[in-house]
Amino acid sequence: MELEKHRFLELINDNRGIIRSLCKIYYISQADQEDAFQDIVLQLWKSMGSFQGKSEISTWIYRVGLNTILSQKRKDKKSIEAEPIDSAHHILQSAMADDQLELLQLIIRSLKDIDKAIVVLYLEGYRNKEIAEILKLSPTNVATRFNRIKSQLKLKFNTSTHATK
Amino acid sequence: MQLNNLESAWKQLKLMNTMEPFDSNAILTLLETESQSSSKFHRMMINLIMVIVITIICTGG
Repeated sequence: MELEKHRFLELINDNRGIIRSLCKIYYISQADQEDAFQDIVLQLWKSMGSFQGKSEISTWIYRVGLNTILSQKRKDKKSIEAEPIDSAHHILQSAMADDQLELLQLIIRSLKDIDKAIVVLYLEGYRNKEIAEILKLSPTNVATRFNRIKSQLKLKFNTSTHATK
Repeated sequence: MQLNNLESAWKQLKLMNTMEPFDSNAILTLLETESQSSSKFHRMMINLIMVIVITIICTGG
C-alpha cells in the first residue's frame, strides 16, 4: 500500500502541470482551483486500479481530470462559462504578461465548459475520435462542436481585434 | 485565427504550473482521510446489514 502511494505521488508530481492547468482554466479563485485539484487527485487515486495502461498516462489524467471537473461543474453551477470577452480580458491583463499565453487564456475562458475541454485536448494533439472517447461524446458531436468553436472564436477574436484598433 | 498557433502557449502554461510547489504531505493526508471515511462507510453498511438480519431472525421472519 505504501509503495502504491509512493508511486501515485510520483505520478501526480510528474503530471501536476496538466492537473493545475486544467483547474486554472475552469476556476478563477485559488480556493476553487485547490478544491478541483484535490477532487481530481482523489478520483485518480480511486480509479488507479482500473487503469490498465492501454492508453498513455497523460490521456488517463486528462480523461479523469476533465470528467471530474465537468461533473462537478454540472453539480455546483459555479461555472464561469461564456464569460464576456471584455471581462475575461480585464482579468487576464493584470495576471499575464505573455501575449500568446494571454490570448490562450482569454480564448479558453470565453468558451463553454465542454468546449474548453475540446480545445484543450485539441491543443494537446488529440484527434476528434480520441477527444470523443475521452469526453464520452460521439465523434460527430465533437466535430460539430469544434466547427462551432472555430467560427465562434473567429467572430469573437476578429470583433475584439477591430474594437481595440 | 488559427488554434494551432496556441499549442506552444498551452505547453508554456503547463510548464508554468509544473513549477508551482508540490505538497506531497497534503496529498497523503487527503488519501488517508479518504480511505478512513471509506472504511467507516463499509463498517456502517456491515452493521446495518447485521441489524436487519438479526431483526428478521428475531421476529421469526
